[in-house]
This record gives sequence, C-alpha cells and structure tokens, in this order.
Amino acid sequence: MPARRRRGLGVLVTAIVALEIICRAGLVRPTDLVPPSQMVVAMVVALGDHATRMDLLSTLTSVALSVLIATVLGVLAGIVLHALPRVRRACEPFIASYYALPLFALYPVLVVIFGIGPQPIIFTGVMYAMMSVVIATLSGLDHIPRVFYKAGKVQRLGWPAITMRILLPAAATDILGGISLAVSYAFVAVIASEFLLAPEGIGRAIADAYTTFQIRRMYGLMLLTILIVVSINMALRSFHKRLGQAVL
Amino acid sequence: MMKRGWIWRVLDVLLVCLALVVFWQVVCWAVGTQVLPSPFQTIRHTVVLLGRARFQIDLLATAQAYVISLVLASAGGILIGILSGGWRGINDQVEPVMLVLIATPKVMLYPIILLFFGLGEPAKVAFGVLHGLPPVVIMTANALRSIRPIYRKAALTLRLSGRVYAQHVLVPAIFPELVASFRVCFALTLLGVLVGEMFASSRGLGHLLMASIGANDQPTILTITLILFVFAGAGSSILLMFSRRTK
Repeated sequence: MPARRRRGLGVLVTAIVALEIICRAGLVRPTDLVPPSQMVVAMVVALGDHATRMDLLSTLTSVALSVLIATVLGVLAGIVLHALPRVRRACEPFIASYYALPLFALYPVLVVIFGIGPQPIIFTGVMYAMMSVVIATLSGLDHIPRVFYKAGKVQRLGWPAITMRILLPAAATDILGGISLAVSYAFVAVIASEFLLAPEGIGRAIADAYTTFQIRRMYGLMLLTILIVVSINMALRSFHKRLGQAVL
Repeated sequence: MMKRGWIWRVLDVLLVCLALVVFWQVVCWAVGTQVLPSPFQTIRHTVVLLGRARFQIDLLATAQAYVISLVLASAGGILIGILSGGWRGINDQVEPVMLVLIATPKVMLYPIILLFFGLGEPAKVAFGVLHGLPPVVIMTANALRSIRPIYRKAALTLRLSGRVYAQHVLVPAIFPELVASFRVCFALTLLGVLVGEMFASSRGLGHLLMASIGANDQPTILTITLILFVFAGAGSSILLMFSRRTK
C-alpha cells in the first residue's frame, strides 16, 4: 500500500476511534449521535430486515431507471444540439443555470399528475440526471477532430452511421463522465423525492426512522446509503479513468 | 455588426423562453388548471404574492440565509482550497472527504443538521454551506495545482516577495477558475438553502414551498418555482458571461 494511502487510512481510523470515544464518554447526547460501532450494527440489523431490503431495492431501481432514461435522452439531446449550433447557443443560459434550479420543487405537481408511486420519482430523477449527460455529450462531440468526420464521408457513411460508429465511440469517455455524474444526481433526486412524499424507498425509511426517534436505525440507514453511493461513484470514476487511459 | 449578432442571440434566447411557455401551456391544457396552473395564472399569482407582507418576510429570510451561506461557502472553500492545493499532505486528507460530500445526497443528512443546529437560521445556512463549499475547495485546489511551473520560476528569477507573487502572479493565474467555482457555488448554495428551509426551518421560501405541498396549493408552488427559476437563471447567466470574459 502506498504511503499516501496508508496515511489517509490512518487519519480515517483515528477519526472513527475519536468519534467512538466521544460518544461512549457521553460528551454528546445519544439522541444526537451514536457511536460508529453502533451505526455499523444498526446497518447490519437493517439489512437483515426484509422491508428495508425492499426499500433499498425500490430506491436502486428508481435510480437505475432514471440514469438509463437520462442517458438515452441526454445523448440524443446532445447530438441534436451539437448539430444545430444556433439552437445550442440559445439554450446555453438554460444549460448553465439548470443545476441551480430546485427541480424537486416540481415533484408535488408530478405526484398530482402521475399519482404516488415510482413514476414521479423516476421523472424527477431523469430531470436531474439528464443535463449532466447532455453537457458531457456536447463536450465529447466538441473534442472530436475534423478528420473523423472526413474519414466517415470518405467511407460514404450516412449521418446515422457516422454518429453510431464514429462520433459516439469517440466521445464515449466524456459521455461516461457525464453518466457517473448523472448517477450522483439521480441519487440526490430520488432520495429527496422519497423524503418529500413516497410510499417506500430508503429516503422514506430514513425520514420515518427520524420521526419515530429510532436514531440508531436512522444512522445505520444513512451509513448504508453513503457506502452504496460512494462505492458506485468510485467504481464509475475508476472505470472512467481506465477508459480514458485506454483511449489515449 | 457585433451589436446585430448580440440582438439575434437575445432574440434566440427569448424564442426558447417562448417555446418553454408554450410547452407549459400545452401541458396545462392536457392535465387541467387544477393540477398545473397556466403561465398567465402563475404570473398573476406571483404579483399577488409579492404584494403580501408574509411572503416578503419569507423572501427576505431566504435572501438573508442565502447571502450568509454564499459568503461562508465561497470564502471557506477558497481558504480550504488554497491549503489543500498548496500542501499535498492536507490535500490527501481533504480531497476524499470533499469528494464523498459531493457524491452524497445531502438531503439525507437533514436529521443530523437538525439535531446539531436546531430548527432555524443556522440549520439552513449549514445546509447551504454543505452544498456550496466542496466544489469550491476542489476547483480552487485544482487551479493551484495546475499553475504552470514557469510562473514560479519567473517569480523566483525576478526575486518577487511572497505578497507580490500572490498579488501579481498567483491570483491572476487562478482567477478564471475562482470565478467558475463561484458560479457553481452560487447555484449549489441556493439549492442547499432551499433544501434546508424545506426540512429544517420555519421561515423562508423553502418552508413556504413545503407548506404549499402540504396544502396542495399548486399556484404558490409554481410561483415559488418560477421566482427561483428566474433568479437562478439570471444570476447564472451573468456569472457565465463574466466567467467567459475572464478566460
């Protein structure tokens, strides 16, 4: 293990031990913060519970569907905007300010339109995740050298073939970067929507644990969610890095 | 010639706005005005709400919390970013924490924020800072690390003092990235303050939004969303223009 990583791990372990001591010594109220060891136990107990596993499955399914739909729509929108520079310029202020907008404020309106269930949650997830894919696709297509287009024309490929066989593979690294951001945004949107109004999901379970004063369970579920989100993010980041190196 | 190009560009943006309004109206006809109030109804309701004292208090509460959060997030982010970008040992500890914070759905942390800060102003400011600070840290540290070594060598050759080096070399070199990070911070802090108000406050637009969700008051939901859309859109566009000029 490299020295830098060893040092980082050392600091992390020290912080966890310090937190454990602070909690055990009664320096913070157990209703405010529970020791890390109890968080881990609560997480394992929660994972043994069928209802929690169903909540987790529901959240992960919503996130996966949101990312899938956002990827398809985002790549399509990116290709169209790249092909129409005037429309792209006109849309730029909206693209730049998109993530400042609290889009999940529209979630209650979506609930009235679609009813309580997975649809409004997935819709919110798609709205949040899509723009990062659009931006990444545009960036990827901008970086493609002109010679790639010329090679496609020399081979007498039509625009669909040039897009599918040349442009999208060439922009794949950037698009994947956008997708890994989309995963984070989809998690944010799905969990925020579940907090607001949803019959199930890990966000709902955390909110319920908080309102019923099950503080240990609440921390256990939070730890579980953070571990899942960070693991997915790290895996995508490492894949993105490797793909970038392979392309270069 | 350039002026004419600029006018065309503004007209194009207005056309996109018009297309969005037409889309909104079509959806409104499709689902009914009880579910989704029309653009005209929403603008009329906005005018009515802006005249109400209670709404002005909420607007002011959000603005106040937002300004405090923005100052704390950008100043704190730049400070930690400078420490992180300047010293590798600090960066090794700070960067992973910031990356985890960026990836984590922070809305989930609201019970912890509530437990530690209580219901009110500090909680929503904490939420704003939690959202806005990490990207500023990462972007400032990256900007410092990517400064071309020749700048440092030139400063050493000219025997510049630390203050002069910072003033005439370092700050101008990282200024475009600082502006870009402020643009990101501007957007995310607003989101953070609103999330904080929705879950951990008894005042502000976020709290009013939550109350309107409970009361199924669609016109107020859309009015607040419209105000936030216009503010965030205008602010981000101005910062984007400024950001392009600094490059």
